[in-house]
Amino acid sequence: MTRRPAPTPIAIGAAAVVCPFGLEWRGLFQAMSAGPSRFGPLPLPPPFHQIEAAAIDDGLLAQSPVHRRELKKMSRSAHLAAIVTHRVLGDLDPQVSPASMGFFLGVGASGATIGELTAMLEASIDAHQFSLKSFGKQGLLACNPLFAFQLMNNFTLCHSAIRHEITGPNAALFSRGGGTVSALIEALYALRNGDCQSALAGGADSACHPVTLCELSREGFIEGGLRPGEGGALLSLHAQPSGGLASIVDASLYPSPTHRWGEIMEQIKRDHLRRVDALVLAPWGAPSRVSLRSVCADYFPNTPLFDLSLHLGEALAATPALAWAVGLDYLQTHRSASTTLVLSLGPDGDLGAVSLRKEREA
Amino acid sequence: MTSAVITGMGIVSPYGFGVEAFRRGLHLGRSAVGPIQSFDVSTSPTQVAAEVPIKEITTSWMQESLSQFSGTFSLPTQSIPEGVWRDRKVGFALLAAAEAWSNAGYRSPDPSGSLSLALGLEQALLEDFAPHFDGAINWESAFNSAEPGIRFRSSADLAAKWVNRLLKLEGPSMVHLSACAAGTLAIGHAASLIERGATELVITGGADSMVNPLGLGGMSRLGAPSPRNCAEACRPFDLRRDGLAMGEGAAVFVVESHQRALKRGAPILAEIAGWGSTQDGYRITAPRPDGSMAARAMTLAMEKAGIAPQDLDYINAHGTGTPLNDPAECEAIHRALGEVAPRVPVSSIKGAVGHLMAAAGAIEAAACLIAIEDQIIPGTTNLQSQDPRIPLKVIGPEPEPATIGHVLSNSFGFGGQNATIVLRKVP
Repeated sequence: MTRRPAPTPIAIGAAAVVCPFGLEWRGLFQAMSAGPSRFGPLPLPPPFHQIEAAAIDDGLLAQSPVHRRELKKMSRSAHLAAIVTHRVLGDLDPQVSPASMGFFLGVGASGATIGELTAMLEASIDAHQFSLKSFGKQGLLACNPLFAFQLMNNFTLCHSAIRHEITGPNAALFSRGGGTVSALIEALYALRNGDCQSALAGGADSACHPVTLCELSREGFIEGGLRPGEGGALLSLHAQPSGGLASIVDASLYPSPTHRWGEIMEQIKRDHLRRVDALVLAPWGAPSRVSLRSVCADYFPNTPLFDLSLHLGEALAATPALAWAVGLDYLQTHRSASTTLVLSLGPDGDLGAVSLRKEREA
Repeated sequence: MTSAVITGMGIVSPYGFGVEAFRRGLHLGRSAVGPIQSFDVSTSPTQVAAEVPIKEITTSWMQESLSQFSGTFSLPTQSIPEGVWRDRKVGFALLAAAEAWSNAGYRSPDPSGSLSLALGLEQALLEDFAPHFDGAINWESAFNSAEPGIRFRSSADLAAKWVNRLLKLEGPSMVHLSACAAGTLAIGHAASLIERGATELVITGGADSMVNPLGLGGMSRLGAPSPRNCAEACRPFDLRRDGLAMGEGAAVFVVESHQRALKRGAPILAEIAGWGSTQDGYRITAPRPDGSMAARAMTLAMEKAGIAPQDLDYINAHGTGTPLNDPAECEAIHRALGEVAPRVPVSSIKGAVGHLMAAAGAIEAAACLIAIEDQIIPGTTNLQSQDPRIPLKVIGPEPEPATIGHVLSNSFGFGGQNATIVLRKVP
């Protein structure tokens, strides 16, 4: 089990989200709690249109700061990351320079556009057989020469770093349910260790890509009730214990918790917060939801609980970061609340815990 | 604060399987680049690569290969998904992890261990689409077709999952997806986890294979590989360099706290003394030409190690042999080392074993460990005529004996991520 140094709170200077509920993190909790559902049929060909999902509306993406020419080199996840990076930097204190910021991102699977893939296959498949000869001769030429940049997972991070000339310490981390929490842990460590004075941390991903949907189906998640989602969220963090919107008390990742829930929950209570005013849950699929709700009922009875994935679906690497943003919004909109605990649980058993505290309590 | 040391190393390289095959290859300085054997490249613009010498990995071959390592465990064969070995890096990672674990002297599992592994792109399995393609992908049939374990695309963390299962690790598992910088970032991260007391044992390193149709094709489309289809394709720092050679393989390390290693009498290969990372934040297709951010990563790593540039005995360069990388790295070395820069020996092993992409930093760290162990600097295979615009002390194709206490290794990724580590010989 991870042992961490005594945590120094880290201030949250700004936040940004992109999700089916829009581009505003402020009011997101209320919008999700009271607003109309964003679930609907996926805007994809059969059979995907039968899957209920929370996809981001094209109209929302039309507000993107990314030029169409740049988009040809970006996966959808990279585009979502670019949107939140642009927004979070726009909200930064002008005295903070992005140049030396750290940038730590939970990233998902590679996700090239289906148009590129189709063009490549069309030129490479003869009579339902993939021909390496045709692929080498015509298939490669049929796609955008910069196609590889859509495929590379780290470009979810790098496109945004390049657009804003962000040059500090960095990491692009992946694990189902844990990569984004790991990214935040690394950001907090970099700030506490003096590697940078400010850092961006979060995640961006889409579960609405056809190949990803096939994988989710093959593993039984879709049939098990998982509703795909997509989005991105970033926090700007600063190496100061006070100031800002709120502070992060700590973040930690506990692998394979099922056989040691009690031990882990006691540790969270000890290391993170003695008092939790609200819980934000981000479970990955139905079995994770059952586990997480059950353990919260035991260890945090009577604590208000908000289940993000019920409203936003499963946005994979984006989900934990969206949950942090909701936790932050909760603190901003509930005067009586001073702390929130965000718990995310992946399908492989990685439990992420992130605790937020309102500034006046810090 | 405790220091992190490497106590075990395992390697799968284009020279073959195991540390000794890699050591022999480096000492001979021969190029492992040759005609691609694992698939038909007759119409591909790139027809050579440094391949690991096995055409097809099977479960029985893996079981047999793993059985040679003491202290490792058999794979749960029944639960291996169909087709898992089609993603070659999974097999490479497992074999390298087993060798590292065994060489570190472990004879039983240690569930407290964490994993910080660099992995390359998921493998796209284009052939899987063919039965579902008729002018367009018929997603209905693709979605509802029979369900082999791996189809269309392997998952990004597949190799990490199997390393965890093989070694029965239960600590946090982190997969670095940072292209060519990932291996070095993972090693630095492992050391950081030890230093901050988050764990006492981390399995780290990297595994990758982009020697497959889409991997090779995608890089060819970018114009990254050398157009020469010969063993001398990649010529780092050479006047006639014109691109990289693709490689594949894995290097995995057991990293633990110095105290723990001493307590159990483990062999200590080196200390991970320093690390640093930056981003160019410049362009997607080119490194920052002034090398300033790469230099910053090097400076951070040296500062962390508590050494000055004159303490460096060898720099293992990223040295891709591309027209843009090598001069930018030269600029970076000059910025970071100042007046010492022209005197520190530099070499790149990419002419020999190719560019292992996400595993490049890991295999190059392995080359650094061997350099420290044998006190021999690996040569820069295929270097014939050093580019006069690269004023560095580049070691030629032949390895050179040297006194080596501190080694610095650079990795710079597509997209602009830079990572540097400093390894220190432990007396």
